[in-house]
Amino acid sequence: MKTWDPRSDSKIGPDAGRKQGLTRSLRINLVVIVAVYALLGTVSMIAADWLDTPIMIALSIGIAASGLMLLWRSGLISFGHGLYLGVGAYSVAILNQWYGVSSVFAALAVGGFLAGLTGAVIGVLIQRYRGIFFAMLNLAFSMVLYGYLVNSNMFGSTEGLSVSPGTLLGIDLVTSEGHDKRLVLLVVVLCFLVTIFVEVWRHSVMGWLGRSIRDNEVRVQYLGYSVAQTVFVTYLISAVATGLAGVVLALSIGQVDPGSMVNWTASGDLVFATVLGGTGSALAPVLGGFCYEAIHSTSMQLFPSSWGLVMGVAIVAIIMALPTGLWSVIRRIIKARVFSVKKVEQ
Amino acid sequence: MHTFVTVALDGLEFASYLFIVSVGLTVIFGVMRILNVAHGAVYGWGAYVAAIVIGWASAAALPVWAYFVGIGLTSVVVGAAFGLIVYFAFVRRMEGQDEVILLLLTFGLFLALENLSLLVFGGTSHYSFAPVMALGRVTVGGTLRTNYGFSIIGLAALVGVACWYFFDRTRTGRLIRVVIYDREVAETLGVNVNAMQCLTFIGGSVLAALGGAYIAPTISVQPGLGTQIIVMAFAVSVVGGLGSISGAMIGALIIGLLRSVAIHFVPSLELFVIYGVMAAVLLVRPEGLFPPPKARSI
Repeated sequence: MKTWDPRSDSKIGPDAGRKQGLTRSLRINLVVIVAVYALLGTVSMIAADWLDTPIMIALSIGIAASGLMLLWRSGLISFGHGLYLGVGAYSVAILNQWYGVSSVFAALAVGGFLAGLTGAVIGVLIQRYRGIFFAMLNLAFSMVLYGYLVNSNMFGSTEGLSVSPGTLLGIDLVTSEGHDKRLVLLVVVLCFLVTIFVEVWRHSVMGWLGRSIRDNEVRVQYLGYSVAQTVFVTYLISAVATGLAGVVLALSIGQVDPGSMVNWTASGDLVFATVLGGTGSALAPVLGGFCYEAIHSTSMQLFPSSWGLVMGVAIVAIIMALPTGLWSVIRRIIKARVFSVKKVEQ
Repeated sequence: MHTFVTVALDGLEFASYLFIVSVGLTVIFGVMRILNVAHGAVYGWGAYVAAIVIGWASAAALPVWAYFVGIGLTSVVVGAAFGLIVYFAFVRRMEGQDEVILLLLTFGLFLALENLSLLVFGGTSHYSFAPVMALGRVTVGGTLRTNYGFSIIGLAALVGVACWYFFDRTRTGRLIRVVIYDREVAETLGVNVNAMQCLTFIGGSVLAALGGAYIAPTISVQPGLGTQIIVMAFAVSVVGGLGSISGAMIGALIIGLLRSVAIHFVPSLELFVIYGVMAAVLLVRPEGLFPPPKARSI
């Protein structure tokens, strides 16, 4: 029987990222991720047409939550990532309406770049802050954009702007039956790439530092690493991820508006999806995104006038029952299996 | 001159009302380390209930003072009820959790309570101008002002003085300050920290409800009220320094006056000013302008 070897356990030591090639745990996780996405891609291809929009929204939120999860691992929560969601979403709408550019790839490039640029500027200012001040300063920046958008006729004020479904390498993605499956597949692939990135990042030196920062910043500095740099880079990644999420969210809804994308309640929803999933795996935020969208759209359907109540109760119930997120339940199940097998073998 | 008086008085009225709401938020944060987003929902409930109570009072043709008794009773009942529920059912059970987890918990409570008020009171606007009418108007510096507006400034001053008296001159208030300064030392010295927290939470919620109840006659009470006010109250508390009462006063004055200037001269910058100030202050002084004194950590 093979015994547990601490050197091959990704949970211990920053070895994982330094070794040549991929470590065992990273390889296993990557295989699991590929399998999960193969399944997810197949399901979304054969799913009924009315499920396209919810699936794309869930994946968009999953992409944003993937970035926020990296911050959350360091103990940082931003109540203002609606800012980057808004930057991404509005870049699609503006490219679309002002410049007549409808290419999805162009939108992703521009939205991701602008979100990254904004994130870099704000990141320089924000990397000193922790805890509640980090959350609130992000909120302030996002509300500055919100205040601007609400009062600007140029960007459609509170009504926002409409977005056409766009084109993919010259193929028009508009269909009479709602969304083209190619757009759905594109979103799945984007989410897949983000998840792969997050998993590799988690096994890199800086990824490990991100988690250590939550425990003890001073010790991280004694190890000779820069806490400021780690927080900045993590923040930048989260900004770009949320910007990309904004782009695909705008494409899947076909509409951008400040109230549901930039306002602080939108940022709160992203945080909810992040905490819902937990920090246990690169797949956790995607799970969080799907659960969020499931709760949100089900309550919208069943109780149109009281979905806020359902959402609020769900947030409170999940926070009180599972403060470490849904992934901790999955992990507990897996662990229980592994341990019971071992006992039998002994 | 007209413009100056209008801008100054508008700003002062808005600042007074921001102060009443923010002071509860900031004290709750000081004592419990909870940034209570549900504060905004309690404010909204205070406004709705007050609008209805004032409606009854004016339908029954009660004298003017009855309106104010109604507003006072409303804020105490609504604030205490929500304070007790939120504190004992949720906050108390989550003690020791991360600040950020608690922030998210109160965010969930906020969404639920906001939506509940929509279900209970409906989506229509509630108006209750009776107290404003009853108090009449007065001309100041060539501009016509409502007396009710001045009474808000008076109420804020009263709340400020009451807070000062409570925290500076009464035993309980001083004990709460001890808890703010160092919770663990307070506990070892025999202060009943749980009782102090409960008292603070209820007191803070009553102030939130009072803010909502007192502003109700001057606005149309409609859904989404709490969403607006809570971020403004955040801004005020953060500008002044979370946990500091005098800070909340200064923060409310800065933001109230700047907002009023923006509304009169560049209306499109209204929201921008509030959060721009918040971001600027946080960048220069991360703890706010007047952070409360801190125990030195070893």
